[in-house]
Amino acid sequence: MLPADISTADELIELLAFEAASEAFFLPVGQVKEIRSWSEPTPLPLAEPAMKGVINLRGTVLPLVDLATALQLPAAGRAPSKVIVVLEDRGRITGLIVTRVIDIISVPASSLEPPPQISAHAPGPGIAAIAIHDGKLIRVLCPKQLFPAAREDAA
Amino acid sequence: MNNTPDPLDQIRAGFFVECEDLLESLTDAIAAPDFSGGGEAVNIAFRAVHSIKGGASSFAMTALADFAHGLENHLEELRSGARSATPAMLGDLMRAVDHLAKLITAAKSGAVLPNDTGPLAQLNAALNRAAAPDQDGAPWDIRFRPSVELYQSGNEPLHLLNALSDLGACQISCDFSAIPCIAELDAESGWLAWHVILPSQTSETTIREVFDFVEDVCDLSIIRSHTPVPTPEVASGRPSAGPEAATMRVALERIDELMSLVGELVISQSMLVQILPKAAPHSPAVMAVEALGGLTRDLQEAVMAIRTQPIKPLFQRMGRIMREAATTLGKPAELICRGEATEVDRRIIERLAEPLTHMIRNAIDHGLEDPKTRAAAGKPESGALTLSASNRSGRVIIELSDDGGGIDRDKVHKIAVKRGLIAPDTTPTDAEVDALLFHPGFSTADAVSLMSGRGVGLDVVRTAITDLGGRISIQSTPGHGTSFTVSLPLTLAVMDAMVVRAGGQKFIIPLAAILETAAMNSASIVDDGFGSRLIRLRGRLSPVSDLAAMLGFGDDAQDGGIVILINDEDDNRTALRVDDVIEQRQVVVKALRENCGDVAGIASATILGDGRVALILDPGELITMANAPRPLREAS
Repeated sequence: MLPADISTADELIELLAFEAASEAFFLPVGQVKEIRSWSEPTPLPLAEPAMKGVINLRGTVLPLVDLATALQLPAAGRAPSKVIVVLEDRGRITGLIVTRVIDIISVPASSLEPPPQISAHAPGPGIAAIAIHDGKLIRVLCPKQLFPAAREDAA
Repeated sequence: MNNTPDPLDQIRAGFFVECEDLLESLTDAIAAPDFSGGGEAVNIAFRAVHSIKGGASSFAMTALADFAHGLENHLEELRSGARSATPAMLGDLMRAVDHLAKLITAAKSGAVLPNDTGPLAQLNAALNRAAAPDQDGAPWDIRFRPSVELYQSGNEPLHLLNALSDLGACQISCDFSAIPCIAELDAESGWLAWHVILPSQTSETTIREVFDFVEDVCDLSIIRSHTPVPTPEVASGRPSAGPEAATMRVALERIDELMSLVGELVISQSMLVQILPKAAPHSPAVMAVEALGGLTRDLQEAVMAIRTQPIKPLFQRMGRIMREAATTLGKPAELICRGEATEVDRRIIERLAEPLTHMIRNAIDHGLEDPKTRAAAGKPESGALTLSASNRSGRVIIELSDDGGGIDRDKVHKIAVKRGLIAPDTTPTDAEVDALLFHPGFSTADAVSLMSGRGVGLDVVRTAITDLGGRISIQSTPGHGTSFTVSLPLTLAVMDAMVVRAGGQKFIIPLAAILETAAMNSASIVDDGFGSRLIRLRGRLSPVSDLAAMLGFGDDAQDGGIVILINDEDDNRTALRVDDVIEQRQVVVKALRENCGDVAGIASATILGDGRVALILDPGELITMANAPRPLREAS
């Protein structure tokens, strides 16, 4: 399912590009609240592996989800993820732990299409849309599928 | 946030907020002592209904506007003095106000209520019953002077006055003027006279009947008084159009934001204290930061005071719920409210409405007997519910008691056995039986009733109260009624707590749940033979659980450290082993669930002086976790 604001044809949409486990992922800039440097989280008890804990974001308790772990990307040769992309999804805010932020790119909204249902390789769950831009694969994340708290709501 | 709100919607929202205030002053006015006498209260009521009508018609809420218009007409008749209110009419008036409140709620949600003119028709009938004031609407003025023969014939004026009091709320005054000085006083003679003012609706014949046997041995005059019943001093002492304290309406979100900013300030201030060099305790910087600390605390209290408000509107709403339930179930009842001025955090008030509604319905449905049974037990047919609020040792106590039949413990016991909640051969104490009512799904109603038998039991009430950081308990005396006591924190924003260390992390334990702390030494520990450890504290053996291990932060077999005995509202206990107790302090409570979902054993979070998040434990859940079989994690 495509977010409503990127489904209109021929409009350019801006995507924030960042890296996790040496791979590039994208999110519409409209969903990103801010980018933060690292602070050590307080771990949550009996949490899923991707849930790294909570930090204080100016008085709000912000959960941190490690993107590479959430997408079950191979751990080998990973650079330590130390940048937090804070995003807002239906009133909830979550911090996504990534290796680094790369760039902001603009792609025509019409070039985005739903990910193929069956694929030997990623994209798997957590990907909202894919596109080919400048010969490269653009994978736009789906926050709803990534975060444990949001998933509980859906259930 | 992404779409700008429709300005008309904002005005509409403002109108509904205003309606709540207007309903409050309307209910107050009708209950005021000078309402029946046609005093200022009638004007207040009239103006409130008039404003509701005005707003409703400008938003084209026809049903609401029409009803308000009808009600306004009735109040106008009272206001102009064309009619006067009788006590019986006040009940009908209240019901009309209840209906008005319902229409407002319906208009707010956009629902359409069936056109119900019942309440107005009733009110109309009541108005017509009350006769015009210039003639028989006036109260009775009775002057009664017994002669000496009355006393000699064995009559007693007190009995006569009591009989008059039974006819209605009368004002009795004694006239001593005839008593001579003591030298001339003939103790065998009668010197006293009484002046009685009786409400208008009693017939003259009824009054005459009281004096049937003494009419020829006293001076008696019974006339319609042409001066109205004097209104109590309270009402006239208050300037009706005096200056009111200026107020303004602020969105709750803004106050919450302010509160959270002040919380930040408290944290930043304590961070400053930690950073400052300890070596120079009297340096200007340290003194300035201390002054800042004082100001911050004052600011915090001031903001907290803004967040609190009297519990009265909630109690008034409960009055409406009670009347509705009483009518539906055919059990006449009245609600007596006490301590309505008690101030409670606005957020608590909001979340208290639902459990309290359920408790009121429950009290009428299950607490009160039907009128026949009550009459047979020598009680008035109309039941009495008492709802009171008070402040006690830093908490808000809300009590709801009924004068019904009390808990039928035999029945509760039987049902509990039948449902397998307790073993058949156990003999639980009265308190244990009463506590069974809070068991999930428990209901003593033989048939599912319309009011409270909706599959939600008192366990839902208890969950709602516990979520607010409160506790609920029950006391019952067979034949005399049942009373529920709810104890709540003053605010949801700040909590007294103990900071402990376990598994390398700092955790916060609410002080309200802590019974005792003790050093963990082998002398006090007993092995239960199944690999679990027990500790004897407060006269009982409680299981010892390692906090860090429970939460998945460490191994179980730790020795030493501190054990903290916690309990829940049913006095289930568990002892938590922690590495260290750090300090006892107030913490600012931060919501965790909205961003993180449910976290095992954790209720909420706070931010400590170093700016890091610390988790606030949920004692009830920890006790459940400790008493449950070993966590699945270890098995898998």
